[in-house]
This record gives sequence, structure tokens and C-alpha cells, in this order.
Amino acid sequence: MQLQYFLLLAAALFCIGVYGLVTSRNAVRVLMSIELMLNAVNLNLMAFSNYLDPAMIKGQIFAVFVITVAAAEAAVGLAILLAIYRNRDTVDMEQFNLLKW
Amino acid sequence: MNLAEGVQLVSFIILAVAMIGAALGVVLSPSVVYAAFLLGAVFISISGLYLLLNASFVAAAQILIYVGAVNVLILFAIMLVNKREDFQPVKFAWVRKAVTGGVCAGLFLLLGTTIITTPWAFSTETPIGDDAIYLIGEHFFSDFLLPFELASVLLLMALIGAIVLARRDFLPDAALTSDIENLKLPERPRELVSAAKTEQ
Amino acid sequence: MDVANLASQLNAGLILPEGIVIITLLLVLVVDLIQGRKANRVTPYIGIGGLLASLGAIAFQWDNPVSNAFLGSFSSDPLSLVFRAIIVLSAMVTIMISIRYVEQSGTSLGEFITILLTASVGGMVLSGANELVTIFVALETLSISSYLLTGYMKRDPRSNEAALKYLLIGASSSALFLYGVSLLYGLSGGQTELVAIATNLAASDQSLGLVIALVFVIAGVAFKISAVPFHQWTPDVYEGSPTPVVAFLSVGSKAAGFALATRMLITVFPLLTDEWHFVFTALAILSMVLGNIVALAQTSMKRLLAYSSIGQAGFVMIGLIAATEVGYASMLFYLFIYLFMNLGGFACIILFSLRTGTDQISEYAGLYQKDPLITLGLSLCLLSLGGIPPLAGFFGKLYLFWAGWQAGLYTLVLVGLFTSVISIYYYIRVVKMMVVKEPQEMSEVVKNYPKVTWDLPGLKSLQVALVLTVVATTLIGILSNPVFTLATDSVNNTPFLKLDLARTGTQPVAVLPEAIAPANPL
Repeated sequence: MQLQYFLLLAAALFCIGVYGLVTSRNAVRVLMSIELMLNAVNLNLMAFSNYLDPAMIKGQIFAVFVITVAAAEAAVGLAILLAIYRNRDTVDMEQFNLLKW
Repeated sequence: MNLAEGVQLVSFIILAVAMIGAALGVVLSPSVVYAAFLLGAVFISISGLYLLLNASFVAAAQILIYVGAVNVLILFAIMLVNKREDFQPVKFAWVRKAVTGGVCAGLFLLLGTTIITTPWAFSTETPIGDDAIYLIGEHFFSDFLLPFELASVLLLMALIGAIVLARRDFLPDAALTSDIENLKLPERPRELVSAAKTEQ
Repeated sequence: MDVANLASQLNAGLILPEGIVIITLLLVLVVDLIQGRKANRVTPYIGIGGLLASLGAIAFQWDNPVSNAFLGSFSSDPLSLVFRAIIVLSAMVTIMISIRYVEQSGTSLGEFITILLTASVGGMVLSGANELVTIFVALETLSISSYLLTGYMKRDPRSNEAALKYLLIGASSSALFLYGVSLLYGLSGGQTELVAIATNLAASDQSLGLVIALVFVIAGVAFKISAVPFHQWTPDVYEGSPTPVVAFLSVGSKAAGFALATRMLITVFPLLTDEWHFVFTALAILSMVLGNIVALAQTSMKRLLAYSSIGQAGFVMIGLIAATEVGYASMLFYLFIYLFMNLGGFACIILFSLRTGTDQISEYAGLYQKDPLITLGLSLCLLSLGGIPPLAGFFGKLYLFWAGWQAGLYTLVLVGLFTSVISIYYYIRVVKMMVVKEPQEMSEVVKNYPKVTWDLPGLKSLQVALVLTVVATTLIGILSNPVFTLATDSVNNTPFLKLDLARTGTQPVAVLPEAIAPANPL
């Protein structure tokens, strides 16, 4: 069991999140991809906390804060998504083109 | 390798495979409902990984908050916007996907190289283990007091803001046709906007 | 550690300004809850009063020798005090100019003010945050409240769309930032305080990981200050947001971003100073060139100011890259002036769009005959943004360019000079549109311009804000010595900047040279 395994796993999850962020058409799925990226960060923090900082475990604290903020962000994101769905009747990212120069 | 390490390694491999597979499902599956359930699977596997990392409190928090709150919220959102719509195909979508895939693979290689080549400063201190929860509490009320208090303001505001935005306001018809008090920007939309609207 | 001992070590008094704002926002919320719509007469003034009190608390702390609070997670040094003052002032002016705008749209004012105050609390804590977790939570408090404010006109598809774009781009950039931060936590062997991280990083040799962390951190910071190529959200969000929110985002949120950039990059990455200076030089050049050139083609006033704010961020970065005492001081000075001239411009645009319902530049034609106050205010603010003497913006730019030239950033300063000439062109175009048109060339909306009255609720405070910011824009240029001194003092008395200047070996400049301190023409 090594630190590097966990870090590689987190890096893979992060890259999957980035891929989903760029390619998804459905706005809900974009939000899910952001959650994946935040979870990758959390995994990083927890791995560092266990292997490099086992006495103070500041990484665990950091991860708890990230979880808190991610929950708030998801709530706000879905509220905005509901508002836009009421007005535009779609969640397709390609249709959100009112603001273009 | 003794028995405990073997069990740890095997559970790590199972959790890692489950997590990566579910995460790929989240971004690739055609149905967004399946994606949401697979997201729950990702969260649960990550919580298992936290257990391997001696962090039982955060593992529980992960399940409670991510699976119990965030994932349920996402499922609610999918149900509320549940119009079955087939997105208009975009030309050269596969080019974009291929390029993005290439970039992400490159990013992974870069991060992987960094992770493997960096000499991490492994600590030799004894892990705190299951006493972590006491230590977390102490941290919250000593050196992490400021972010802890600020997070309470953030949560209060997110709560209020989400309600304000998601609440359905019933306006009198007069307000909908008049220029004022219709919950819209006072500036008129530009020409481009109205043209785009009539097309639909 | 027992409670009494802990309480004495926290120095909680240093976050008194933030505490006042938090109490104010709770008060606004409760009053709004009890009184309903009637509260609209009271809540904005509670908000303004609270922010004034907070400003007083900031001024009161100026000479406070103790700057570390919360066991090192917050530092209330003079630099953070200046940034917090800028954020509080911008929130205050934003409330003053938003009352009528929000009421006319029919959305509730109490929640608007609450969210705006929360955003300012986030920005204020971010200005002084000295530790990764605090930085992250403060940054997210600022960002999440900004997303909510952007989407506040919820029946308007443009506002929804702007909010969604802002949220998605913002959340992904903060995820990138967070990944970089988690690498810093690991590379430093489990430290979260900026100084401790720097110490541990200096002791070990980890080049590649550090570079990756730097890149991720810069991506997060550049998003907040909307530097090209992390600027794509700016024009869309500025166009779709309620105009007072744009005013806050372009000043308060940007100032908080610069505070974060200054503290974090200088403290954590002294090993990579050349690298991050290089990256920021590239960002600054791109921002100045692209922001100012694309602004030429805009037809909407809000978009014009969006691109101009991208360009202005490029100018401010010159001061940060110069990395001298004068450089940092000129950055603070320019941000302070930018506060007044930009908010003054937005006050005029809001007033015009409230009266006519449009923000197209062509609709401003011939406004001079109908509304001299808006014409005068907007002209002064735009000319000041363009850097025409003797307005404040001229001295700010002169000071920035002079600091950059002293530090040997010749390319950057030349690009800055060239692009500010371009920027003068598009600012003057608007002024010309308002002033020199013949009566028959007047646009339709100006022909039907309503009679100028200030009776409607909320217009009085808008008028006060407009006059105050325009007067400040005009006078600070001529009477700028106190502000210069303030900026220089704050740089000189900030411990981490002093350390940085001592390390790079820049000679402290005790007196301002005569070339820059403007000769008082009065």
C-alpha cells in the first residue's frame, strides 16, 4: 500500500472529471463532473494526510471543508439549473447561446 | 506480505476498479439517470478508500453528505427537469471528444510523472488512528476556527440563495407584460437575442 | 490548551470589520423577514451603515502592531486592510446604486443585500487569509455568492444563462485551484500555513511538482481577476448579470483576486519567482492587448466595460510583476482609483438604463441635451479610465508605468502605453456619441427621454453615489498625495512584502520622486 497508488487514482479521477466537464451536453452531467474533480482533490488530501501528516491530519480537516463547500455549490448549481430550465425548457449546453459576441 | 497487507491490497484494487469504472460510466453513459446512480457508486467507493486511509470520520461524512445529500439532490434535479430530449447532433462532436480525450490523457501522464518522480517526505510519526475524531474537533475550534465560522455563513447564504433562485414566483399577469417588476433585467435584449428566439 | 488561553491567542478582535458585516447581514435578514416588503425602506440603509462601521473598524486597526489572528490563519496587516477597505467601499457603493434597480425589477431587496454582504465578507477574509483552508473557504464564499447574484433576475434567460456559465466555469477553476493547493499540502509534507509551506518547500527539492502546483494555482487566481486566456466568462457574465452586480464583480471581486494573488504567490513561491513573473507577464500582455482591442467592436455598454475591465486588470498586473515597493504601491493606488472611476461609470449606466431600458452605445446619442448629469459623470469616468489628465486614472497609470519602467519591464510598459492609446479611442467614442451629436441625430430613446426626477425611492442614493464617485474620480488625481502615502505606507509596513523586498534586494524608496507626485496645480 503506497501513497503513489492513491495519488495516481486521484489523478485519474481528476482527468475523467475534466473530460466530462468539457464534453458533456447535459448541464446536470457537467455538475456531476465537477463533483468528480472535487472528489479527486479530496482523495489527494486524504492520502497526503495519512502518509505525510498522520499526527496532525490537517488533510482530513481540509477534506471536510471541501465536502461542505461542494454541497453548497451543488445546491446553488441545481437551483440555477432549475431557474434556467423554467425559462428555456432545456438543459442542453449547446442551446445556451443568448450571450455571444 | 502478511495477511493484513494482502487484504488491504485486494480491497484497494477492488475499490479502485469500481471507482474508475463508475466514474467512466458517469461521463460516458448515454442516460443521465444511470450517470447519477453511478456517481453514487463513485462516492461509496471513495468512502471505502478513506477507510483504507484510516479516516473513518471522513468516510462517514462522505457517505452522509455526498451520497445522502448531493447525490439525492442531483437525482431530484434530474426528475424535475425530466423532459426526454434528444440533443441536436453537433457536427464534428467526435473531433472535440477525441481532442479532449487526448488532452486529458496527456494531463494524466503529466500528473502521473509528477507523482512518481516526486520524493514525498514520508512521516514516521505514529498515525492517530481512530482518535482522529477528537483531533478534528480540536482543530475546528482552535486553528481552523475562522474557516469553520465562515463556512457557517457560506451555508446560510447558499441556503437562502438557492431558495430565492429555485422558488417559483407567481406573478400577476400585469407584471408579466409590463416592463417593470417582472424579475427581469431592465435592459432590453439585443437584436441577436430576439432573432435566436424566433428561430426556435 | 484551555479556553481562556485559547481566547487570548486568537486575537479575534482583528476580524472586527468582518464581524460587523456579518452582524449587519443577519440584521438585514431578520428585519426583512419581520417587515416584508416594507423593509425595503430600511434594509439598504442598515447595510450601508454596517459597511461604514466596518470601514471605521478597518481605519481603527491601521496602527495595530499585532497582525496575526486565529493562530496564524488570518493576518490583518496593512496590505489586507487596504484591500478590505476597497472591498467594503465597493460593496457600499454597489448597495447605493442597486436599490432602485432591484426594486424596479420586482425581486426582493433584502436577500440581494444579504448575498452581497456575504460576498464582501468572503472577499475580506480572502484578503487577509494566510492559510490554505481559510483561503479556500473564503474564495468559495465570494464565488458562490457571486453566482447567486449573477442569476438574481431569475425570469430573465440572460441572467440564468450568465449564472450557469459563471457557476460551471467558476467551479471548475476552483477545482483546478484546489488540486494545486492539495499538491502544495503534500509537497510541503502536511503544512497548510503559507509561511510554513514556503519554509518546507525551500528545504526540499521538488521542482516538477511545484511547477504543476503553481500552474494550477495561477489558473484559479487568473480566473478571479479575469486575465486572458481565463477571461471567457467575463463578457457573458457582465452582460447577463444585473448591472450593480457587474459593478461589484469588476471592482470588489477583482480586488480580492489581486489580494489572493499577491499574498499567495509572493509567500509560497519565492523559489519560482522568475517563472510566475514570466507567466504573469504573458497574462498581462494578452489581457491588455485582447481586452482593449475587442472592446473596440462592442455595441453594448456593459460588454464594453467588461472588456475594458479585462484590459485594466492587465495594467494592474504590471505593478505586481514589478515586485518593487513602488510596484506594489502603484497596484494598490490604481485599484483604489479604479474603484471610483469604474463604479461611477456603472452608476451612470444604471441610471440611463433605468430611465430608458437599454444599454446600447448607439442609444446614448445626443444625451447631452436631455441629461447633462449622466453625460458629465459618464464622460469624466470614461476619460479617467482611458487615462486622460488631469483625472485620477491618468496618475494611476503614470505611476504603474513608471514603476514598471523602473523595474526594467520595458516590453510590458510599451504594450501598456500602446493599448491605453487604443482604449482612449473607444472611451472617447462613447463620449463623442453623447456630446457632439446634433439634435436631429438624437437616438429614439433619448428623444423620448423621461423628465429627470429623483422622487422614486432609491434614486436619491443612486444620485449621491454618482456624485460622490465622480467627484472622487476628478479630485483624487489632483489631491493624490495622501493616497500615495497611504499605499506606500501599507506596503512598507506589511511583513511579508518587507521580507520579499529584502530578499530581492530592492532598495526601499523613501520619498516619491517629483516626476510622479503630481505638482498641485491649485
